[in-house]
This record gives sequence, structure tokens and C-alpha cells, in this order.
Amino acid sequence: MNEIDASQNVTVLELLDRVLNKGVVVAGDITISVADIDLLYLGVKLLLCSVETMEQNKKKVTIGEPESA
Amino acid sequence: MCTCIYTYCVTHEEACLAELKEIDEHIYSIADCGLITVARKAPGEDFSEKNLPENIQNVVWLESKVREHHRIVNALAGRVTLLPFKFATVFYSEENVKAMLRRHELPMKERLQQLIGKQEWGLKVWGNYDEVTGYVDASNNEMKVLKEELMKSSPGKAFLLKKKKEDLLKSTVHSFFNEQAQECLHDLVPYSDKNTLQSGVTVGGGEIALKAAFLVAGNETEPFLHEVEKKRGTLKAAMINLECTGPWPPYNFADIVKN
Repeated sequence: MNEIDASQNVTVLELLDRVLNKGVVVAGDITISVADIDLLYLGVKLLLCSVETMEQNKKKVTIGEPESA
Repeated sequence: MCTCIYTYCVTHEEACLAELKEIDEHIYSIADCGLITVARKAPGEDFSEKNLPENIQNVVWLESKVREHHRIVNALAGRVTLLPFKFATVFYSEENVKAMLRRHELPMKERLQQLIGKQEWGLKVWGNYDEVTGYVDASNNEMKVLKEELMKSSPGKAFLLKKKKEDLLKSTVHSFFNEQAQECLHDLVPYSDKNTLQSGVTVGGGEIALKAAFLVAGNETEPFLHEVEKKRGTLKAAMINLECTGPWPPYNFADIVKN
């Protein structure tokens, strides 16, 4: 499974902005290359944004739906 | 499979050592030249050179590891001054961690000194794109003039004017939002030690936004947050919101190369 809990999106984006993108950069024995992390970061952000939009649309549909008899 | 050493952060304060096990039973310290790295033994299946590039494509794995990284760094940041490492800074041996500390001893110590007693706060200035556009369309003088001209124009001229108005509105929204956001950041600068733009004006997902981070000294926190509240009220009138998050460990102010 490859899904993220949408209710925690804002926190995940805030965390990604910092944990993936910032912090002290030293040469470890194993590191993710800057190019990789940039692509990854963009990919995850796009995925999260689309999940968020999906959730918002779901809410809109629910709000707009007439109450069932 | 081999075991790796995952590093979270570096500090120069030994005060945290006694409390490490309270934060997480698996973390421990590796010290050299007056610097202490907080680390954990991590299975090679997570962070080996072969598996890491594959694992980071799995967002569920990535989210859990990013949260884990932040949980440890955040818990320690409440106790000591530290520099968080970028995600997935991994070593094969303790000796290699120590060599890294020796290599960066001076800039790390210098940066740590500068961060004593300070915290990072995140600021997101944002608005619903359509709402900000609506506000600019209704309040901007140039727009008013164009609208009046449109009313009086023949159908052919009106078509061209409408196009001109749409283009102008788009660029005006961008510059208006940028001015408002920059003014807000500018007014917060006196309450902070340092600040950095995380991202300039971006438009996406129905939002127009700008993100910045501020490094604020403990005794300036209250005035800083008070000013944020003031700015929030001012910006609200222009359909712009202000979101302030923190305190964060100093992720945006830890880099020893840039600073």
C-alpha cells in the first residue's frame, strides 16, 4: 500500500519542507543525492496535494448532498 | 544484512545524555572533540545504499521515517541547543561519525553558539486564489478604469479590453500578494535574529502562498507572536491568511555551509 493519511497532510508538508529539505548537510557514508531528494520532494508534495484536493472534493460532495430520506 | 548508523542531530551540550533513553530506548550518543551526535542503529534493509533509493519512493515508509526523525530531534530540541541533520544522513561505523564531527568541528560549534536560546517559527502567508483575485478586481484603481471603459466599448473593442483586463488582473494579483507578504515579513524582522524565505510566491491547488522561517530568541517570542497576530488582522481585510507554526528545531538555520 502506498497511501498517506490525508488528515495529517499539513503536518506532513511542513515536516517534509524541513526534514527532507533542510538541516545540516554533511557527507554521510550513505546519503540521498540532492537531485533525488528534490524529485522525491516534488513527487510527494504533488501526491499529498492531490490527496488533499480529493479529500476537499469529497467533503464538498458530502456537504452538497441532500439528506437521504 | 549490515547495520547502519542513522544520525539525527549534533549538540555540544552533554545535558541531554542522561535523558536519551527517556526519549527513545534505541538512541545513543557518539562523541568526539566536544560534539555529540545522537544516533540509532538502523537495519540495512531500511538505509543501505542499495535499499534506500527504493525505500524513499514508498511514501508510507518515508512518512514514518520523517516523523521518526522529527520526533527525536524535536524532543531533544526542547532540552538542548542542536543542529538537526538532513534526513537520511547515514554512516557505516561510529569511527566514520567521529571523523565527520572532527571534520566539521569549528563551523558546527560556531553555529551551535549562535543558536543558543533561539527557536525557529514558520510563517505561511496564503490566500484562496479566487478570493484574492476578487479583492484585487474590486479594489484596484486600474481595474476600475478598465471596467468603466469596457462598459462603454463596442463589442470588438470590449473583447480586446477584456483580454487586457484578465492579463493585468493576473499580474496585479501576483504583485499585490507579494507586496502584502513582503511587508508582513519586513515588519516581523525586528523581532527575529535571522529569517529566510522558504519559498517565494507560488500559485497552486487554488492557493497563492509564500513561506518563510524566522529564528526568534526566547525573550522575543511573545512580541514576535503578538506582531504576527496584528499582521493577521491587517491581512484578513485583503483576503490573505497568516499561519504561524512552531517552535520548530532550527531546521532552516542549521546549515554550516551556507551560514
